[in-house]
Amino acid sequence: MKRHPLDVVSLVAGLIFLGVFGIWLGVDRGDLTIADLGWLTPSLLIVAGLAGVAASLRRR
Amino acid sequence: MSETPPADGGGFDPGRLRTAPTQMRRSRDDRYIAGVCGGLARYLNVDPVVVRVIVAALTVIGGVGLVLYAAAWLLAPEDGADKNALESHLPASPRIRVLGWIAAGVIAVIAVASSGPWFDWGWIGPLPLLGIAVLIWVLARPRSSGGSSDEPAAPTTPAPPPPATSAPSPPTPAAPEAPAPPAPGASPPASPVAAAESLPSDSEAVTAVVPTDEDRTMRLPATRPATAPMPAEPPSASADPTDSAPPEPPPPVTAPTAPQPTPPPAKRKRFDPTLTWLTLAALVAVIGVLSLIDQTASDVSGPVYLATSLAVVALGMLAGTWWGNGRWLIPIGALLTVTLISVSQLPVWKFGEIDEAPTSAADVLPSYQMGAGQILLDLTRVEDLTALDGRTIQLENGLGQTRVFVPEDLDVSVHAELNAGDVKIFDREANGADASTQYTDPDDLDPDVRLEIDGSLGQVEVMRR
Repeated sequence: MKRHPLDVVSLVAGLIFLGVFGIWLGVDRGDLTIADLGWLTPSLLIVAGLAGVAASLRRR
Repeated sequence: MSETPPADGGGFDPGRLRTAPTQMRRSRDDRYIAGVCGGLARYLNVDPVVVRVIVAALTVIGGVGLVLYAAAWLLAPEDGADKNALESHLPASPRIRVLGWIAAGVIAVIAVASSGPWFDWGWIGPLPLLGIAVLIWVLARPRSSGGSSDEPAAPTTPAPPPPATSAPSPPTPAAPEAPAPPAPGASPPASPVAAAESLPSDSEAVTAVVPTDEDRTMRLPATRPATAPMPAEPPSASADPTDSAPPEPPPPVTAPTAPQPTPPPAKRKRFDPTLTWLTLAALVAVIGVLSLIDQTASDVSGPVYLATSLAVVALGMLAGTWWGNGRWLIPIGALLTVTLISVSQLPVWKFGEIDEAPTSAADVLPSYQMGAGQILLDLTRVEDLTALDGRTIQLENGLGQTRVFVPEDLDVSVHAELNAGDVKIFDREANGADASTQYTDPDDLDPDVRLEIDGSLGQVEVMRR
């Protein structure tokens, strides 16, 4: 596997999947309640989306 | 490795490595509806039956398969076409392609996430969002650099050649023949060629028309599965002479190259599967470890397997940001996410039936939990009801039916809540999304018990007996 220029698709998808896992872990351990998902899910998407935007702008 | 058969050799070939087509195309000769499943199966080199079963299953589960099928229909070009159904109609700039991908991805994830219990849109919620995601993706895609930029014909079906009436056809010997063929038996498939050959001068028309002909007859058996054997093809045979009658060559879209898929764009890199296989291998190992823990140390529930797998896939994808190609992990991660979200709604990882009729207050548990199944609690056989006084009984059932029988001489106060379903407490009833009902017996000397019932989806019933 060679190193290649940053792949935005992989970055965003990876962040989202990792975030979903993190949220699940928080809820499962009891650190988060279902109500927290109301702000956590959008936040995750915002973070992943902004990371993708930043990465793709930087690539150019 | 060395043998890479052409991408267009449709169907499943167990001997072929998953190398070939770099773009998914809707299959033209292996189709029931629009060739999506056939095309996807060819793209992944799996048996089309597998793809069809998965799509059918996803359709039954909340209609997701239907949405994905429709999206693929719109977005994947058909064999031989260089554009998909939507592309040519919408403006696009290559610069915002990546942003479009991100936006589409974000919206798609919102759509998936919004099917959770905290959004309350019901099952219809994700559909419009998925539609928006598809639209944005299409808007953001670059227009292909092919010459025919405004040709709307490229999509799903090639435009039929102009009918005989619209063409300014000079008197040809073929024209009077046209009405005759509709009698199915009398028209052998060769007749269009014969008709074309009988044209006096225009040899170009002959060569241009015949391939189109072939193309149509080739497509026919697949579109209508197996009803008409080869010789009897009345619709095609009767339509073609009319089409081939005008000496005017057909439009460029249906040109002789149609049956072959366009060659893949040159700049596309070859798929390097190392990272995907690496991640999947790691996934297998991790699942093995979890399973070992499950067997020896402590119980590992279904969601833990799913979530851990998701974490492995996520790490693989993040590695793919700089090394190797992990994009093939996206569908796996998406599937894991959806499954994890659905499974997380179950209060416990337990399936089946609880059917209890305790005879003493000591036997009545403080809580009954079921992941998916049935709970039946019969309190009418309890001998020492006074010992139940002041107790709270919780009943939780993720998916299914919960029923409680209460004796006449027991006062209950009930709070029942379902994300969706039907709640009935004595004569009070609530149903639909967020069905919730509260009931309290008038206060008297009878012992009091509090019942707290909740669940995601199903039916709750509290009855006197």
